[in-house]
Amino acid sequence: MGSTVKRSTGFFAISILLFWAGCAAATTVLAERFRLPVTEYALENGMRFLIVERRESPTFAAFLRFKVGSVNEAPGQTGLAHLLEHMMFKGTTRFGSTDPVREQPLLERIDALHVLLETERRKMRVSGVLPDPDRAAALEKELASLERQAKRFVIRNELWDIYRRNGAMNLNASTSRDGTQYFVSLPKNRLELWALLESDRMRDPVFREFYTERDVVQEERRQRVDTNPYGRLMEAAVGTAFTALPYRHPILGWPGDLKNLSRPQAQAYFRTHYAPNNALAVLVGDLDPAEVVRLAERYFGDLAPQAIPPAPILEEPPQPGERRIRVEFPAEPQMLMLYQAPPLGHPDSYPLAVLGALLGDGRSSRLYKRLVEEERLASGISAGPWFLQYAGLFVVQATPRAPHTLEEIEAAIETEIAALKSDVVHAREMLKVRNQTEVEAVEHLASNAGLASRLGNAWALTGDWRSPFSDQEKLAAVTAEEVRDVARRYLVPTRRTVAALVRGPAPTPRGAGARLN
Amino acid sequence: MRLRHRGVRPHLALCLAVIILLGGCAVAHTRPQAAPRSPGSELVERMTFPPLDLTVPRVGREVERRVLPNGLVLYLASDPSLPVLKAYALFRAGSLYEEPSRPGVAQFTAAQLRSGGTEGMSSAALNEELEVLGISVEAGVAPETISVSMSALAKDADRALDLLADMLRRPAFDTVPLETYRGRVIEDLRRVAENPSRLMMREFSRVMYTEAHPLGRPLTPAQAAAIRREDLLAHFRRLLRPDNMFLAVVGDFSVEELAAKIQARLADWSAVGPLDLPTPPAVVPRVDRTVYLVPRDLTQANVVVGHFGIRRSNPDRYAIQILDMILGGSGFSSRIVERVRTEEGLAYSVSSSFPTTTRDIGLFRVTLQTKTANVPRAVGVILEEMARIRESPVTAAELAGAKDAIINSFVFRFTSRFSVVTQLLALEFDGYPLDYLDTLLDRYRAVTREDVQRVARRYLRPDDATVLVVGGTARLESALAALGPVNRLPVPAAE
Repeated sequence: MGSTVKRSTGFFAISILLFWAGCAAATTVLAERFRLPVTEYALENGMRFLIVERRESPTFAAFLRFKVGSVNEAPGQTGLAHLLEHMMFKGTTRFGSTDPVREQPLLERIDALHVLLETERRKMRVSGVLPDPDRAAALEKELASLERQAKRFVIRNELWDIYRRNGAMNLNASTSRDGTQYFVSLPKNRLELWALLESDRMRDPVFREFYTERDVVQEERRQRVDTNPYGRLMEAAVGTAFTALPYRHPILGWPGDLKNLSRPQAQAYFRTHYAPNNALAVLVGDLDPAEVVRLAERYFGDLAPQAIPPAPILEEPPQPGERRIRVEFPAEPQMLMLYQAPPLGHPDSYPLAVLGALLGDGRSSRLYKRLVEEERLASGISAGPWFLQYAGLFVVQATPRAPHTLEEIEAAIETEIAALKSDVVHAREMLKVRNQTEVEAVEHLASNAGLASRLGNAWALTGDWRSPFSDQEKLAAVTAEEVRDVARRYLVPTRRTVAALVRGPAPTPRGAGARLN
Repeated sequence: MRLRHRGVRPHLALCLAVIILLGGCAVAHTRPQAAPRSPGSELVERMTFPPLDLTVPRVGREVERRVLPNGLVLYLASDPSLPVLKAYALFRAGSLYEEPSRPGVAQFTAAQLRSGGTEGMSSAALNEELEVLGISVEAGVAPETISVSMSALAKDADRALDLLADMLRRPAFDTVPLETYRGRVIEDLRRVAENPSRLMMREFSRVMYTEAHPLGRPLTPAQAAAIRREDLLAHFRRLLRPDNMFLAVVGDFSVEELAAKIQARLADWSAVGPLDLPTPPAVVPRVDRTVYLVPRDLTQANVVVGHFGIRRSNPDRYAIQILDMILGGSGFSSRIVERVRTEEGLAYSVSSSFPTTTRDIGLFRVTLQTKTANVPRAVGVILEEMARIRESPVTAAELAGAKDAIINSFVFRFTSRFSVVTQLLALEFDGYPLDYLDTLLDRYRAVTREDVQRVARRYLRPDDATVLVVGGTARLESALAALGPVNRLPVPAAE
């Protein structure tokens, strides 16, 4: 297959060289030492691979990312990207079932019955006709019987099990607003196993046990949001700060959407977005690039590319004014301030990142020193930017110390922000942030898995896996005047959502009304 | 407990951006290929994997061990892979070794070693210099230890070690940062009730260990308010001394360079008088079924089912680890997770944990979070699985799966030089022989199905397990009553 291999050896050497520019003589030696060969490879079907050779231990980390996240969900289907991520662990035609041929029609019949049952239950709301309890009960009975039959074929968690027996570590997956990631670390002799299992689930996943897994995700929502004051506050705050962008929706989905997601919806979403030309893989570790390329061709080469829907063009309109919300929950107060900020890679994102570090990163940061140490208004405070593909937010989070109030906290934060708008930051403080950025850059090289996800996320979001390193240069070049300038332009009340958590009763769950009982 | 000091960014990224398939983290794992087979499993079985050349690191080879004349045990290794220096110090000075009249003093001492300034530098000046140089120093406390870890760029190694040595040898325990910390601790305690899983674990330790043992006496706001600077100094003088210290140093230097750096800063530190290490009170295990309810009006209940387990000196620990992996400690590849989560969809988080590394007897527990109505069902499944693994032996495939997972993932213990060194150091600290890792895999290989059943019968007690639930509704209370009389525990109030 005609494909391109690009070897870009020495890239890391360059970045480290830049990184060490301040310390003269040691530079070249160190640079030589960190020469990590990088190989880029693209299959004909559009799937891309990045291989970083690093021989610290006979292991490797694999990171597979699809350029699709919760931002791509259709209305009424929030939570689908994340539920699909769970379903990708349920097996394929080849794995997870003793008899996929006999299982298949059962799964389809179960889908159909779920539709009929939901229609029956919603009769009252949709058409004003009373539901027929006998019909609903009969459907439920049939459904239970079919699910029992389908269960007989299932080999539960087989993918997980095979990986585990082969020594896998950090096996997991995650869904974010802009992407979905599947990752695992393995002993280096298991490279082919990775290629087999991952290409198999890209080709032909079977979403068995779908409706049970939907229950699991509803428990996940109860755990992360419904019973967690910070989760509640964050969901409400983000849902207010964004209005036009689908970023306002929680990744876990709104409860009403989540409980009605269907297997055919997940299948359609998979077919639309999980194509090889919408995927990239980063492998870091003790690997031979030629071997990776050979296995990539063999296992992923025959996946069919497909037309990917064009990326949406999304723009958040300017806020008409400050937004304030109160979230009631049986807990002590806390607050979030979210300022509308530019997306990832925007020129202003770099001074905003520096601004975040100055305000809220570390014990010598301005907010920590004033609110936690000097005035003792808060027991904890943090600040920093959150950059996404289409927009960003600058986030300040604070936990007051009784008896101090959220109003006092807010006033103190305002004072610190005002200082950053009126005066340029002292050179030593700028140096501190620059040094911390450099230290973080070294820390990111410390583990195979960390490096793989960093390169993979950057590659997917910016199109260039080198961007973490060029970002570092851009951060180092930020001036004190630029920091003052972005503080003046972005940290203003009209860009802001202030969300306060105040003590109140726990919200009563809805849902009983939607059921027949 | 440790309050979070560092900036938000990684934390925010996690909370805002990512939802993960399986919460929490798991260690070494697996389970079996069940008897029924998929077409794919045959493909996998035909794959052959060339052997991995893995050298188990040893003291005296990859890692150099020295003992300074003042008693300090030093582990050193050169690591040219990154331009950094890392250090990790352990003192036998955790909460178990506190003066009984000063609960919380170990936690406060650890925090103020880091934040209380030194004789030569104020807390603020120290924070400023550390952060300008990008040096991180953090201290933590555990029942057995106070630990201090440091990371710096190699170019700043000397200054970083100067500051670390000052913090360890000449802490000032200034009152201003002490008061700041005290206020944060008290605020944190006011908020215990709003984190239901934390509340559950705290109350479970309390009812199991009881007042008779430090682990059964979580810190109260009144105790936090009573700790004085003199208490910290006394704990420091008594226990933070070179003859009670283990130190690992790894960095982009030769071993000789590292040794010289440490000697220059710590060799002249001598302890006054003999070390007087108190013997912590022994855990007195209680075996009976008790049911507790901590009433919290939430849509989801936090549940723990558990009882007393073993101490690390118990030779059955290897079989018990395998038992735990098969029962519920191995993510999706374990019986309880498979039933509660995958088969019945009752919970997102569910797992068992049978600690085998504690000095004295630890707590075996199964924890889960599920909607209130599902609590009786979920507890029933857990007790059933605990009984089943006692009654009949695990399958050969389950045992082989667990062993494969341990053996094949063993290499991940040694992916960085720093993790190698700190592991070896911790093994000596815990009293294992220096060549312990050499034969560790053989101990797992030797475990048989009979062993697993024997330890299941001996150490799992479904009929005597305590059940504690943080959650709401009167219906839940009556459902729990089927397991035994329900004791209501008070919810700690915010005021």
